[in-house]
Amino acid sequence: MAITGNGDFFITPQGAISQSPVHAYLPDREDLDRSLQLLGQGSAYALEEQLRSGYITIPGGHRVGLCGKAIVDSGRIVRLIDISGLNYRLARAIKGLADPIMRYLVVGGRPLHTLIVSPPRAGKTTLLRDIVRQWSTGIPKIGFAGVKVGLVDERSEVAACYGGVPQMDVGVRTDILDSCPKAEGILLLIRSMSPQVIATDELGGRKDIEAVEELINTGASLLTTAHGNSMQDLVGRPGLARLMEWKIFERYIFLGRSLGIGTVENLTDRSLSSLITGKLVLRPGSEEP
Amino acid sequence: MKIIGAMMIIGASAWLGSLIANNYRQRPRILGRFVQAVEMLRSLISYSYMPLPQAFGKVAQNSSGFVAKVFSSAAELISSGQGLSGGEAWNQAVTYWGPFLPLDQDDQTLLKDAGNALGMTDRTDQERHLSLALEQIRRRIARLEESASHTAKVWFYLGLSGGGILVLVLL
Repeated sequence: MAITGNGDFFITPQGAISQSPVHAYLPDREDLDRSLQLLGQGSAYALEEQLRSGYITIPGGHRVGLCGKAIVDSGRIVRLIDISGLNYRLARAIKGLADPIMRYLVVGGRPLHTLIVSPPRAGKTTLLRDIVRQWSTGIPKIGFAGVKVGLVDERSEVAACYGGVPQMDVGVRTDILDSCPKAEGILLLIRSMSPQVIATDELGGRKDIEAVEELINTGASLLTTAHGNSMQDLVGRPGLARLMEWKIFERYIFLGRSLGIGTVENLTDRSLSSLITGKLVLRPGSEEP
Repeated sequence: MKIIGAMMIIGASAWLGSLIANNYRQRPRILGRFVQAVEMLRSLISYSYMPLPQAFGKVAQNSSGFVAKVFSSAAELISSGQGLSGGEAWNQAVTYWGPFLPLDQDDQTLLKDAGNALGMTDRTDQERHLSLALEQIRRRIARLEESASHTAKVWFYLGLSGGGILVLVLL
């Protein structure tokens, strides 16, 4: 079954597209096993961590979600067995997506501590990736030369590393720690790479917040994301609430889908005063109206 | 003329005997080279989590002769897009190159068994399987080395004396 922006389709045994599930090809156990062998290059051990997480990153940065029976030990998923479904999600990098808002995120040549707040499927990771790329490579339009960015990519979503090679452009000065827990990754990058910015997806745990405290003391900027629709959603989370209480974030980007995926519902400074008028739909090369 | 003919027959049968004898000496040597290669494969799996196509390829690069050919074929087979498991690719590679190796059927079966579970389980289990396989191959090598020198000598003298007997019969 193919789920696209233009509707859902089914693939027939002949490889044709059909609107009806009646004509769809039904994969059997053999198909699934062969697919898994191909996805894992016949090396299940190399996918241990990914099988635990429920997805596999493949060349091109695309991801394959897995469903099956979870083997649980001490409340933790040890592995997935009897895989019953594969969900191929095509990754898409949109270079220049953040163009309309980049000038708000740099002041005096310094990237500002920024939090992207967004519900699922509103373009949060795509926006994070493009901001990382632009901060790292530089933004000639606003005379920003670029800084060293450390990216802690715990779920391999931002740089989508495959075999250690980023499949997405995350900038020329970006050091990537792939599949690394955020807290340890932040501290490791601070110690070893002297980054001017640390970027990471979905911050929130207690250890993450402690690592951020360490980060703030080094003078590096933080770029991160959080699930949510509004400020109220964030206040309920102790870790993030603490960071907000300290007024660490200098910019809040509220993403949504009111005008389509990639709608900036609001962009505020640390005191939550809006910096834009109305809503903004992010498109490469577009400017704020 | 008769003397030259007799010498040629004896020489040829001695050569045949030494060929078989040499095969007996080669078996533990080639199995020893497989042991080194499998040890390397185990390290690449245990410490580097290296996927099998790359691991097979790396071992092939660091080996020579038929050992390199077996690993190289396994790397090609597993990357061929047929969805073969590591064990299947390994089995096919050993089956293909087996007739070219100075190994008997039991040796080849031992090698195939060594790779049966390749890529099917987690890292700890892979390490356990390969360690067990290495132990079995080493035991086979020890047994072969014990008998190789004796058996090789037997074949050489068998060839030599066989040639002598043939000459006597013909004369």
